[in-house]
Amino acid sequence: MISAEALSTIRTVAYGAAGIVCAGYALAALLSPAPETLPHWAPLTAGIFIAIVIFASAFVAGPANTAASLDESYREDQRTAAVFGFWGAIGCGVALWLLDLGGAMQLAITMTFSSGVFLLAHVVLELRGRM
Amino acid sequence: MTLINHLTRHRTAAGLTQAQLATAVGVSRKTINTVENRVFIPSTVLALRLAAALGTTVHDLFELETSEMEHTP
Repeated sequence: MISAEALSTIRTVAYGAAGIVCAGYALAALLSPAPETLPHWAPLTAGIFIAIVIFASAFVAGPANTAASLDESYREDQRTAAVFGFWGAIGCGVALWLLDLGGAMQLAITMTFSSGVFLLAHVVLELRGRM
Repeated sequence: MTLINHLTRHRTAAGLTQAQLATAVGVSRKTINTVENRVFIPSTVLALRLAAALGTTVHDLFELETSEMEHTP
């Protein structure tokens, strides 16, 4: 049986890993002279992988522990992280538009960057709450 | 709005850890910690559950800062 605390830890680690992959991909695409050579499947694969890990962990933890790990402070953190992701997307989109990298590049970087910001913001908020 | 809470005092008086109180009211330990540290304001339902778990009332656990209460009509 996985406790609510352990499930929250698993979820936080998973969010952090996927967030690093997404943000890292966005940064690599921005800095690379040949972004089309980057593994475009990496962010999606990371997302699917952590979804499986979190779902399986929640299944083992059971409904009571899962509900406890998804309590009102988690939902508050999720809303706050979404705000960071939103403004990260706006800022990134504007910055890339000014750099004039082209629509496809702009979309790819903005999407993965905002996803990374959302996930990593979640991690920071969770860790802040535990201290 | 400044919320003062006496959750830590009541929890320790009851001999409970944050984890134990969290389990008793069905939330994560992080939630209890953030409430105690005034980072997170609990919902009414959670406040009532905390009071019930600690054998006290919501008013004993939480109160508004005095200066704000003086301005309350």
